[in-house]
Order: sequence, then C-alpha cells, then structure tokens
Amino acid sequence: MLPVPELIPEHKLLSESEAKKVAAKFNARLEDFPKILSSDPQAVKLGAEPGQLIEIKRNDDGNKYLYYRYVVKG
Amino acid sequence: MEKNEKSANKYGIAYGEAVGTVAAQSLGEPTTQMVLGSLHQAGIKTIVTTTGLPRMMEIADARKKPKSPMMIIHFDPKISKDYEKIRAIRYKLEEVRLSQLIEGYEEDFRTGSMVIKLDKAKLAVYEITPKRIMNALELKGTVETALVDNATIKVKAKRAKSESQAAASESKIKHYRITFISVLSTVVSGIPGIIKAVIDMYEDNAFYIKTAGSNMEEAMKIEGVDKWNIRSNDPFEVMKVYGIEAARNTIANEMYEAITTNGANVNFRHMSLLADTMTYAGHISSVGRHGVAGEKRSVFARAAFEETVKHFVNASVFGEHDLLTGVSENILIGKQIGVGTGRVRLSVKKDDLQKLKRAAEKAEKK
Repeated sequence: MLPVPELIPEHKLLSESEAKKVAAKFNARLEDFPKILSSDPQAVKLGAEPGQLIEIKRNDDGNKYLYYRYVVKG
Repeated sequence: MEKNEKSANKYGIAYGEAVGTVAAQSLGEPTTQMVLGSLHQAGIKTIVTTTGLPRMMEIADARKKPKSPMMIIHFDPKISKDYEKIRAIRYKLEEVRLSQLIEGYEEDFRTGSMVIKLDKAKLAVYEITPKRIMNALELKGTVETALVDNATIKVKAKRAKSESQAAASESKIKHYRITFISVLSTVVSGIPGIIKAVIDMYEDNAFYIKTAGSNMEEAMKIEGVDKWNIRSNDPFEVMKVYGIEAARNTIANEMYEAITTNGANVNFRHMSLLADTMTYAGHISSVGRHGVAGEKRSVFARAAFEETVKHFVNASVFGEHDLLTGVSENILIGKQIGVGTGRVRLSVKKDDLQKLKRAAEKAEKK
C-alpha cells in the first residue's frame, strides 16, 4: 500500500484577506511560500492568477494539514 | 521554551530541529546499503520496473524519461469488477503495430505496391477491421490503400514529392523500401507508448491494469477509466496532467517504494520532506547543483556546495547580497548556526526598552 493513496489533494483558492491572514500566521511574505505555476492544471482549474495563494488540504497518515502555494507566472 | 513544548507536543519534534539533515541521513544510510547491481528480478512478474539504487538516482536527479515508465489504471466502480469489459479495454490500450497482425506480405518494386495478408484470428482478438487499418495507413499520407478481399490489403506508395520524373530508379526503390517499412510499423490500434498491458486484481475483487510505458493523456480519454486516479511513475508526466501537488505525491511514493522493496524501512515523512523541497519552485527540480542546491538564494550557500569560484565571481560582478540566514553560510563565516538552540534570539519589546531606560535614568538621578 502506498503512503499517499490519493494523488490529487483538494485545492482551494484563497481570497486576498484570507491570504494576508495566512501570511501573518506564518510571519512571512506571500512570495516566501512554496510556488505553483499559473499554468499548473490545478491552478487553471481554479482560475488562479499570479499573486494569489492556494490552500491545499493534505493528508499525512490520516492527519489532515494545510499546505500553501503561491501562484507565480509560468 | 513555550514554543518548544508546544512544537514537541504537536509534531513530535523540538523547535529548531534540523529536519532536513535528519532526513538526508535517514535516506542516505539505507541507500548506501542497496546493491548497485540489483537491477532486475527474474520471475513471473510480467512488467519489470527499475528498483533500488538506480531508481533512487533517477528520482533524485529528476530525469525527464524514466528507464521503465509504468502506469496503473483504475476503473469506474461500475465496471471495475466486470472482467470482460476490462479485457476489452486492455486490448484498446496496448499498442499494436501492423507487423504484429499479418501472416505475410509481398512487395513489388516495379509498381511500388505491396500486398499484405492479415491474420484473421489476431484481428478478431484486437477487434480491428481491415478498414481501420486502411484508415490508419491513409492518415500517414504516403500511401494509397485498396481492399482486395476481407483479409488482404493492397498498398500503393505515392511518389515522393520532391523527386522529379527523371529520378533514378535506384532512389525510387529506396523510397519504396522506406515507405514499406513505415507501413509495417504503423500503430494500428492502442495508445502510442504503451508496450504492454496486464490485468491484475485487488483484494476487493476490483480489477486494475498495469502497463509498461506511460501515456496518461491518452489513457484518460478511454471510456470507463477512472480519469483522476491513474498512477504513473513519471513525475514529469504527472505534473503535466495532474499538477505539481500530484507530482510531489508521486515523487514521495516512488521513493518510498524504491527503498521499501529493498527491505529497508524509512519513515515516509523524510521522503515527503525531500519531495516538498524538490517541488518548492512550482516545477520539479533535481537534487544537486542544477536543481535544489543551485537555486538557493544565498551566494555563500551555493559557493559552499560546488563550483565555488564561479559563484563568487558572478556574485561580485552582479553585486549580489547575502542575508546570512541559512546554515552553511553561517558555518562559512564562523557564526553560530540558526538550528536548535542557535535559533533562539533575544528580543526586547520597544515599549519595555523605554520603560527600562526611564527606570535607569531615575536611578541615576537619585
């Protein structure tokens, strides 16, 4: 059995105010978050534009946690 | 202190723990124990994939094409337990070339035509009609086809466009020969790139298909396939079709498989950390000077790894600056590194500082 049975986790586009809250929580700038390209299939699906933040619901052995990716042009 | 306790309780690690170094050691040690030569296993396994050290290197170096690409295709729950339907899909998947379907053929170089005799039994198995073969051949644009009887096809090569009427007969023969060879290797049915497809079953009686060769985009188009649950061992293909998050999961999963099939047991979180690092930039970067290590922001960190002079020269020419926040740059200049207890910084609130100042002034006056 593979450790991550579900290949594509749930992606959610965050609004500007939500993104600011997340950045404040981690005491970081938005540009410091891991990136996702705007041409990425999941980003295209959400209609994300460069400068926005995407929230990803990851699953680690049953423990749910959130991961964030900052949309960059590409 | 409070932060440390919180962190230790919630995540099982102390605040400031050097998780990257621990992951590197945990992955590195079992990898040294792997035997270089354990490339293939003999046995009943019909699809052989690279495992062990070569596979680990393939993933970490982020090579564009894996040596043995593979796919696992799942199906809609409605049909996943119906063997007949799965078998029909299997024949749609596997790449079939015309040369696999024939009994024999005759070439005629005078007229540039060739008569192909088809194997009826094989046509029935793959559910291919002679008409479909003709269509596939016509699509190439280099030949004209005609049906002789229901299992024989006549193929006539078109004249090469660039050649004049007075072209030497020798080059004509060459042209016919090339055309005939390409006719025989035409993919008549199936998905290009998929060499073999094998049906297997899970414990809950649901069938799945394992393929040698990977082509997710085409496999998704087949009816009955669970579109968003195709597994490929090529992270680049997964990234193109499913996105970077799925590619990250694929990297971590593949690495886990490569290590555990060799008998070693490494906690999955080490691999997921490495996969996170490799996909940090939004694309897959390799571990090494062209990837993760070469993309670091700090000049000192890059110079401390490889090609020291090159990085220092470039940095001085272009006027780069370094904030000295990482580990290796602080080791380089002889400062305490920001890991573990070294991560703790002393800070005073501005208001408190002014209060202290006032108190000190008062004490002085007295």
